[in-house]
Amino acid sequence: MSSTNKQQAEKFFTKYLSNVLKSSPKKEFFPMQPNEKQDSYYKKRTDNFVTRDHFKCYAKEDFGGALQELWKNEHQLKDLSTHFAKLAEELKKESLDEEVSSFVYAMF
Amino acid sequence: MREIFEYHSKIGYRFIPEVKARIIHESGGYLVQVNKSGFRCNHDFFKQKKSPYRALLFGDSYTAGNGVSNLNRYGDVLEKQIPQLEVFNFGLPGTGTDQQYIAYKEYAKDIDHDILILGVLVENIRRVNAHYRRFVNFENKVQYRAKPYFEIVNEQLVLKNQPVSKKVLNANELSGKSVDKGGRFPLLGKIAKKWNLKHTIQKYLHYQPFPEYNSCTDKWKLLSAILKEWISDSPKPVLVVPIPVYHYIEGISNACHYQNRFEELRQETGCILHDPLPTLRKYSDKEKREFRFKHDTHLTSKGHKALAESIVPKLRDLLLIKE
Amino acid sequence: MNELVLGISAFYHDSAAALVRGGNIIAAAQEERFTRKKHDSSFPVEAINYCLEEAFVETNELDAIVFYDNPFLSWDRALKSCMMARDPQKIFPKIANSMLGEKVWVEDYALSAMGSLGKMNKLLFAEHHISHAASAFYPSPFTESAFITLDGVGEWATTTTGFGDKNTLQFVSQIDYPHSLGLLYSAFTYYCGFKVNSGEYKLMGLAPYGEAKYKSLIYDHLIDVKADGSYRLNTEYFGYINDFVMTSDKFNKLFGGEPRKPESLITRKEMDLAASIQKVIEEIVLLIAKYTKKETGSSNLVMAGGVALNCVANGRLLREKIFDKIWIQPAAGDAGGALGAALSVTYNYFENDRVVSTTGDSQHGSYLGPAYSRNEIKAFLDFHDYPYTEVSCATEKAKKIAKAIYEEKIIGYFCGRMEFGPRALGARSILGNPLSKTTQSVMNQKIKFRESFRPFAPSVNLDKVSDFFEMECSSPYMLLVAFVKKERQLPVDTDTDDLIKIVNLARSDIPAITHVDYSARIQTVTEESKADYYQIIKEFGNLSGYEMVVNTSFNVRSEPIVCSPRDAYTCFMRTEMDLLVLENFLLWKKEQPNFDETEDWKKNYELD
Repeated sequence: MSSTNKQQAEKFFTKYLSNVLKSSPKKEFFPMQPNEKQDSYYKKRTDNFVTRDHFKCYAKEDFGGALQELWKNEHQLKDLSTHFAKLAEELKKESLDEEVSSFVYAMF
Repeated sequence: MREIFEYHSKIGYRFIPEVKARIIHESGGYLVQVNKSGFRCNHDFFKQKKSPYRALLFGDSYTAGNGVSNLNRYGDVLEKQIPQLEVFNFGLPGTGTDQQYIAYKEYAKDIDHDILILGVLVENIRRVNAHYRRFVNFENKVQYRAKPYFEIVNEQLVLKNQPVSKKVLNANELSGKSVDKGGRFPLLGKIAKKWNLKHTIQKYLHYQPFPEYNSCTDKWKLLSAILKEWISDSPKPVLVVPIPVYHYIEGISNACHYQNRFEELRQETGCILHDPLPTLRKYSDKEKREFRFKHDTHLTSKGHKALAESIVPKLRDLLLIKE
Repeated sequence: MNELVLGISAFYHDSAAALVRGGNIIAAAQEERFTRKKHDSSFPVEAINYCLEEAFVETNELDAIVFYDNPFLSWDRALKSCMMARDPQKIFPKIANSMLGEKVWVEDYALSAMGSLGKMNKLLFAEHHISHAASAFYPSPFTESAFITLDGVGEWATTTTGFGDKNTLQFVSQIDYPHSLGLLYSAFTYYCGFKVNSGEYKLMGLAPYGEAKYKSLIYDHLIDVKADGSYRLNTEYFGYINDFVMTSDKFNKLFGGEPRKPESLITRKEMDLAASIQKVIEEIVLLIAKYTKKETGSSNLVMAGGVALNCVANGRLLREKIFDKIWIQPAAGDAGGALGAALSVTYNYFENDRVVSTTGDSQHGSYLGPAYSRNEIKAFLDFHDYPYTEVSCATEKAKKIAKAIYEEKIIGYFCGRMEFGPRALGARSILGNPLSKTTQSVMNQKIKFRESFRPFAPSVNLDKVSDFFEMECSSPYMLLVAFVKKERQLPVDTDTDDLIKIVNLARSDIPAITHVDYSARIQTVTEESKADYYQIIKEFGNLSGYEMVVNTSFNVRSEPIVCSPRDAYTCFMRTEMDLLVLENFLLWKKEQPNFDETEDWKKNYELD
């Protein structure tokens, strides 16, 4: 990661994301601990048959719009959609030559 | 990526027979199909004709079609536009007219045909005078290989460097050797290219990529001697097509010197000369720019098509083929 | 019906490309084989190039191009995980750069690499676990089957179960990030000093040396498993939400100290940890399998995802007979996602009918990579003046190779199309004598330059497999582990932690492939799947009475498996192999000229 890109991302964090994190109690996007009261941890899918619709993604020209749609029920994130799209444009130049870490599973 | 060339003791190298490969390229990649004889031709080289007319086509990478798939090359477009014609493509990338002539003697002499087409990239004047050629090896390292070449001794062509050495040389082993490294001022060219000024500078300075054509230089004498011998060797009519580099097509450089030399060749040998430059220059600036790739100066499919379309009427006339 | 679909996987682990025409797999290959960079995750320019070369088509002839993952949803997950972290500010720049700066622009990479996005002029995106499920079900020999996918993480899903029927895929259940069997296993891989994303199979190989002493500690603290196999991790023990490592201080404390340093001595502790996590994984996989069987009612099971490469767990699943038949995608990891995505588009997007092979699966033995012609190999050998003998008669060639193996020579064998997936299956393999007590140590130390504890696998002709192993079925992709027959096992008395001493004890009459717990990772070979290889094994059987050879991948440690004749020759000359077979060309080491290299080649390969 270039230092410019790092700085851009840090600036973005301070300007937008930190406010979201400060403004509300930490949101539980997913459970962090087991729950003995639950009988099962399986989640059922509503869209369980794979159809043509599963291959739709986003037009890269409308990344912000697609994020807004994805986060339509998560207002704080929804409000940041266009900013994320702008950040993506800014960071785009970074090349893919970054090594995959051998200390952590590559998941982003 | 697959290796597609093999050593050849007489020519230096040829395509590996029957290889089918896709070559990664700035265009996204292109398909290469090689026939049994080791040439990038869609036909195997049968002695007897299968179509009413047959042309044997020789040249370098512009003829072999670096950057485009087989069917998009000017030789293949000729076939498409003149259905009675089959074209045997002997184009071999990186070779000079000397190596192409050797390939002709080695592979083409006994093949029945109606016309011999020599697609002479004007840059070949430099190659025929070189004894070593630059290439990029599998590790992306620049190295040099020997090539066969001719010398004029007592007004006769004498073949040298045959059998061609397999030895691969590094730059530091080349001192005193005649090498074609590509371009007149490679270092300056690189710097100018980096600043996106290359073509502006070239145009402003009336850049002449091949001053070897300015007069009857020794280098031209060698190229013309090879062409003369080849033309006189041929039992069938010979069509010589000087293929211009983009500097001439796009009006960066004045083409009159090389045009004059080839005209002299026509007068001396009686060959048929077809200069495609006037036709190619008629296209708009935008279209002309699209005849080559963004970085690679080889012809794009559009460039090949335009070149073929300039040749078609001449070929029809020569073969008396009605439209 | 004959849509040409290109599948691409990239950016996470092994990048790859696969090309499918009307459901028929034309080609598939991992990028690492061409770039010579192990587990290369970069956009697979060369693998795509190869796939188009194999079909000999232009990019604008492609009916669809599909990416195996949805970067849009992965961004959603990565961002939310970051927001849940203790110090989001530390995590954000990294995820923003990786996801927003690169992965969401995959279409641009594709366009730049291929010059065209095919007839659709856009990229399709398949969900990660849809790609895995499709890679498992569609090439399988089953008309209908249950499926399980298990890996580290896709967009959100880490585990899915479902049912495939003809050309349809139906998901039943799912477990989402951060709860993941793949991540759990990788945490132990990291803690035991192996590289995450590549050292998992080493941990599996180490497991039989240990005792499952830490099993209850794992169940008590790290993971809660319900009766139906669903599970949840206690994220306090893991580092991947709050940091860029797999385990937290709490994890390290629980297991008595810092993670083992890579390349340091492997101790009893690592062996026991490996055994423990292996047992836990096996038990959970069995529970998930039982649940899936109940939910789907199918007697067949297909699997994919990185965890499905755990052939020890697969072997146990087979022995438990929860399902009558099991088929596992040989490229079960992310590389196989490229294939799955292409197949999923074929059947779920274009809705083609699926024709199930009547003679086996549709994976073509996983020989889906490039082959090299006689002319190409000869051109290479002749240019360098490497001495060779050309043997055109298949029987004569098989006899010569079998004789060399019988004489305990080590052979580099390069024949036919390269394998797709992590296992060498006799197209790019190093072969040895399974009866020899020294084969394992010679191969490990003089050929592969790798850790001495790692076992080798046998290739055995299918009709003889039950003579040697407790196994009746086929295992063409080396994804099942079975025990050497009781009557062949030799008692061993050992009281040492020294891995080299343990390894060198003969445990059966086929010592080179008998692991410390008497197990073996088996490849069954048939004449139909690979005639040349079958014949060599057969000829070796004629000499020795054992229709079996040792088969390990044709590479040295940390090097991708060889792809081209040049790669094969280079690897051959860098090691102490005796004979190189390049299709019909036989090259003896003792006849080769000196192989001078200006640099220390071992520096080119970072240890895995």
